[in-house]
Amino acid sequence: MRCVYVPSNYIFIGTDVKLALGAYTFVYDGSAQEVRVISDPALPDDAFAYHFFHNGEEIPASQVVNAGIYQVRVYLQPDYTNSFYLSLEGTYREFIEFEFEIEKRDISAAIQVLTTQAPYTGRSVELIEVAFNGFDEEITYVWKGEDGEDIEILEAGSYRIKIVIEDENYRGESEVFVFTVQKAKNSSRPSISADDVSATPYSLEIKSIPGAEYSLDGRTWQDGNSFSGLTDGRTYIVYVRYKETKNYLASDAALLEVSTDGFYEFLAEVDKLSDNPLENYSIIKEAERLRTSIDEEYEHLSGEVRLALQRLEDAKAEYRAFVERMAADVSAVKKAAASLALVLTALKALAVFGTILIAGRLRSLIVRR
Amino acid sequence: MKIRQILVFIFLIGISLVLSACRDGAIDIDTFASSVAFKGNAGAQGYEQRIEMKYEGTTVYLETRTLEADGEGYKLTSKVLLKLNDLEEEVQFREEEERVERFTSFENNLGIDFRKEYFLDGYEIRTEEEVSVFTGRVKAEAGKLFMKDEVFAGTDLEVTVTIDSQNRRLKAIVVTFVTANGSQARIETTINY
Repeated sequence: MRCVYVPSNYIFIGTDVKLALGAYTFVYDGSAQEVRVISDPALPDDAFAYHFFHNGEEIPASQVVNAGIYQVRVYLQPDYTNSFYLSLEGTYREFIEFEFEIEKRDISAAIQVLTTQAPYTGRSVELIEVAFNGFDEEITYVWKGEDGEDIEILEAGSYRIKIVIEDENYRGESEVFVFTVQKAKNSSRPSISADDVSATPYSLEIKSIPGAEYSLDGRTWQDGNSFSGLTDGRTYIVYVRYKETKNYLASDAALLEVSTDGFYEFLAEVDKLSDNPLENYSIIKEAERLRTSIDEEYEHLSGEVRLALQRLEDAKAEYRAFVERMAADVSAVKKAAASLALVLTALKALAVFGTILIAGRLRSLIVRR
Repeated sequence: MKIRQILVFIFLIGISLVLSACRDGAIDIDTFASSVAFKGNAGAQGYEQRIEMKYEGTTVYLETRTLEADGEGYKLTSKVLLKLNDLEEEVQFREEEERVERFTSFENNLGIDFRKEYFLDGYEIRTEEEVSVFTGRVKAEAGKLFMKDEVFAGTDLEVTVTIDSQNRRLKAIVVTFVTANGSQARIETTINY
């Protein structure tokens, strides 16, 4: 408590009255505080007039509500000034000023944390929802580390924090709790095409994509962009996705169907070619299929493949020529077959014409049903 | 006028006796030649034909043809059951849609020339109760003549003719030969009456 001495020219004319505040400390309760003095000798409360000040400005008594430091000047009402005077340490006073405080109300027990997690957004968490049980008004609060330090909640992970009320009229803090920033979904997806894959008979190499990981089954992932120990001429599905990071989950995977170089299978298939073009049809077809899986660059490296390709082309040409020969044979056989059938003499469309022409001469040969 | 009619009648009786004598005689290669030429056995109503070509034992072409009566005329139905495809196709062989042609008439004749002198010695004739079967190989130089085709290039031409033993009517003729490109052709024609 602090009293203010006010010099005065007033003349002592009555009983010396000493004052003290009934309470110098109050707790914010949302209503105007009842600030009164205790006098010696005891005078009725209506003997005094109260003037309140806050932040250097006079305020009505009804505004002595919010937490803070206040001053109150206590005067004697005019009816009492002839009989009493206010004194302090024997000195006459027009008024006596007291300072009192309305303290913030501790509502720690009312704090209820409503959200304990948020997704990673690339920006600091801006809101942790909190309810104050029993209090409807807006109460300002912040969150701090468990030791009270300032904390930025930005990246994915777990944070041990507490809610600290920083309000005009309330104070308090919650128990320490864990707030989690979840990793965000990575909506981008790597882009790959057949041109991004190179193959050998036993390995595949996909172009290197920063931050990506690779798989051949969609379950087991590796950082390396090549796979070895594969089977010659077999088709695989390559999965490529952006791997999980500190703040992002792994992305959806891009899928690409690729084949290892069918080098040996192709050679083996070409080796099956025989002198019988008829039997070569299926071999040519299979060799052509395998040919598509031979890496062009690899093809140029291998004279063996070049020879096989030439042999395949020869077999194809031979087969086509064979088909043409067979077609010629079919024509000849069909012609012979016509000679071995009853000789048809008149198309229906030409029946009348034909009949007129040969009626007399062939009449006996014509069979009519 | 009556004398002329009597002469014609006597002539016809004579012809009948001759034909009857021939028919009652032994079945030899001439009998088959006559049957193939439809001499004295008119009345065919159509035929069924099967055309097959094989290469190295594998059928590369198969077609059936059927000539049958159809209303006022005849209907020739052709169906290619097997034909070789080129490489561009998904499968090696294909089947084709049935094809129908209509005719008003046909000759009682085949388009070949069946003569004894075209065949090598050693041809066989086997006569059973109902049918007689001739099997013979055509001389190399006679293939074109037999087939009545100057450009016929088949070799190893073999002919099997089956006739009815009783009325000497042609029942079937099977011809096999090797084509110019080495495939084996077999044409089987069965006459329906």
